[in-house]
Amino acid sequence: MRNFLGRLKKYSKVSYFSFWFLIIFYLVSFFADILIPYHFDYQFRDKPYHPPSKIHFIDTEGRFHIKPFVYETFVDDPIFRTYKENYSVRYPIKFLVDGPERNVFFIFKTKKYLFGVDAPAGIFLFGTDTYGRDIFSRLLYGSRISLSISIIGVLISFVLGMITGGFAGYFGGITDQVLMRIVEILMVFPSFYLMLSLRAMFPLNLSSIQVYFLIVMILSLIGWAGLARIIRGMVLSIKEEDYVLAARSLGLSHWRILVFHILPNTFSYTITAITISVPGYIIGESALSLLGLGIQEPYPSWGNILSSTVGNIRVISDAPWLLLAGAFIFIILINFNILGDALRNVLDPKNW
Amino acid sequence: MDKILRCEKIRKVFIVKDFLGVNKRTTVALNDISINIEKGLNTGIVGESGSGKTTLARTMLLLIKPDAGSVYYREKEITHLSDNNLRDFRSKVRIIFQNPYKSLNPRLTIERTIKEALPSCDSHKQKVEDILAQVGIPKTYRTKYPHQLSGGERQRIAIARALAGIPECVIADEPTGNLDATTEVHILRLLEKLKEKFNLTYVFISHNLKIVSDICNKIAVMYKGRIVEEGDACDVSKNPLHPYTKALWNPDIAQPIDEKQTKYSEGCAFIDSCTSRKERCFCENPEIIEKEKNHSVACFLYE
Repeated sequence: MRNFLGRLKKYSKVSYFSFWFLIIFYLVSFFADILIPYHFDYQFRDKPYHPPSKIHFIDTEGRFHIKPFVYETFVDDPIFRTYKENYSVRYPIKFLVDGPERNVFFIFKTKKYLFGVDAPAGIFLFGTDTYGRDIFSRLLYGSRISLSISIIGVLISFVLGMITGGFAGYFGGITDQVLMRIVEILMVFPSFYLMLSLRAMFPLNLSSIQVYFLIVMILSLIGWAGLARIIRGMVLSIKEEDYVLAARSLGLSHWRILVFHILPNTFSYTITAITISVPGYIIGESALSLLGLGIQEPYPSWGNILSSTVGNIRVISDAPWLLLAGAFIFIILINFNILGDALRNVLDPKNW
Repeated sequence: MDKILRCEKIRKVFIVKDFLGVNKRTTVALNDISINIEKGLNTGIVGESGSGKTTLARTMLLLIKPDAGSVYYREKEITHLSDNNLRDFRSKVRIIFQNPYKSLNPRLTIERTIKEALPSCDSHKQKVEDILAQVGIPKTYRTKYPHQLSGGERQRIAIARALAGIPECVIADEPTGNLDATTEVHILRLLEKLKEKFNLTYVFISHNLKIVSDICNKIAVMYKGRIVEEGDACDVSKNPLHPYTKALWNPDIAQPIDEKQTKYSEGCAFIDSCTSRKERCFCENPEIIEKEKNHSVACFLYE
C-alpha cells in the first residue's frame, strides 16, 4: 500500500491529490450524519430558496469577532423571494452542538453535530431548496447514496465481467460462444434506454431501499458486458503466454490457473477501466433520479437534487445554488478520471 | 533400464490459415517421433531452430496434445488423460522453459511462484527458502517480483520451481538459450549439481552440440520434425553418421540451402543441403535403423 502511494505520487502529484481527495470525500459521505447541521428532510417552511447564508466576522458597528456568526433572515420581498438580515441579534456558529439523535449507518448513534446555530436563525452553506431544506445537508447525505451506488455497482460489474470474460476466454469453444452472444445482446441496446426499460419492468411505488438495490442491479447489469468482452480478449492472449504454460506444466487446476495466473494479469487494465467507469454509474443514477425513476423524495441523491431544477428555468437565475449537485458530480468525475489514468501506469508491475 | 517416459510415433501438424482461411499452410512439427527417456540417463535433443525440439518437449509433457501416437509414463499410456488426471505425472516430470523473461508470472512474487509448484500440503516458508538456497538465490529475494531480477536469476527461479516437489525427470528446453556465456556456465554447473543431489534425469534440449555432449549420456538429433540420428553421446559426437549431424559439428561444411527451396514432398527432409545425396534420396524417406550398437541413423548412406 505504501509502495502504491509512493508510486502514485511519483507518477503525478495531481493523481496523488485525486486519490486522497476521493478517500476524504468517501469518508465525508460516510460520516455525513455528524457533519451536516440539519436532517436531510428538515424543512424551514418560511425560508424557501434561501441563498447561501452570509457568514460574518464584523458586526454592524464594525467590531471584529473571533467567532464567525450569522444573522437571522426574514423575507423581504415575497414575490421575488429576497431575504434580508435582521441585524439586532448575532447568532455565532457553534461547533459540536447538541440536537436530535441520529443513526450513523446503524453503527453508532450521535447527538452531537459538527456545527450549527441556535434557532430561529439557520445556517445554509449552500442555500435551501423549494421546501426550505438545507442543500448542504442534502448534498452530503445524497453523496452517500450516489457514491455507494457507484462503488457497489462497479464491483458487481467487475466480478461479473471477470467471471464471464475469464470463462469465455479460457475455456473457449461453446462456453465462449454462448457467453459472448449474451454479452452482444446486452451491448446492442443503447444503454440509457435499456436502463429505462429495465426500470419500467418494476413498479413505481417501491420502498427507497428496494429502489436503491434495483438501481445498483440495473447499473451493474449494463456495465459488465463491455468489461467481459475486453477481459475475454485479454485472457485469450494471456493464456498463450509461457507462464500460463508453466502453470499448466506444474499440474495446477484450471480454476487456479485462471484465478491466480491469468486474471491478475488483466488487473492493470481492469482496475483502470472500473475507475474510469465509476463516474458513469454516478451519472446513470443521477439520470434515473432526474427522470423521477431513481431515488425518491424525500431521500436526497445528487440526481434528484438536480431534478428539482428541471422545468424551472427561474431557478437558474434566482437560485443557482441548486445546481451545486452538478458541480459535485463534475468534481468526483474529474478526480476518478485522473486517478484512473494514473492507475494504468502505476499498477503495471513493469513500472515498479 | 527403468523407462520414465516413452514416446511412440508421435506426430504433430500445425495448420496455419491465412486471412479468411483460404490458404492453409501445414507444418509438420513432429513426424513419427519415438524416443525413450530412461532413469539416470540424460537425453539430449539437438537440432537447429524450427526442427521441432520445443514442440517435442511440450508434447512429451502433453502440454500440446499429439495428433497421433502415444506417450507413456512408466509404461502407462497417458496420451488422452485430461489435465486433472495428469497432475501426478506433472509433479514428477517438470519443464524449464527457454525464456526466463516469459516463463515467470510477472504478478507473483518469487515466494508465490515457488509455492505454486509445491504440493499444497507443505507450502511452508521454510520449504521455499530451502529450495531457493539450492539454486543459489538469497532468501531476501522471496518478496521480489520477476522483473526485478536478472535473466540468470530468473532462470534459477525457474529451475527452483521445476525442482519444487522433487521430480524424477526435468525437461530443460534450451535453459541457457537467452543467457550470456558466463551465466550459461553457472546455470549448467547448477543443473549438474542438482542432478546428483536429487537424482534427476534430464532431457536437455539445445542447439549447442557441445553442451549436450558434455551433459548427456544419449543424444537424439532432430531435423525438420524427424529424429535423424540417435545414440550414445560419445558415439554421436565422436563418430557422427548422418550428414546433418556432421554439419552440426562442423557448420563450415554445411551447404547453403538452395534459394529455390525445392519442395520434395517425398524423400529425405535434409535433401536440400545434403552434400552426399543420391537419386534415391529424392523419392524415398529413409527409416531410422540401428547401424551400430546403440547408434541409429536415418540415411541411405548406411544401408
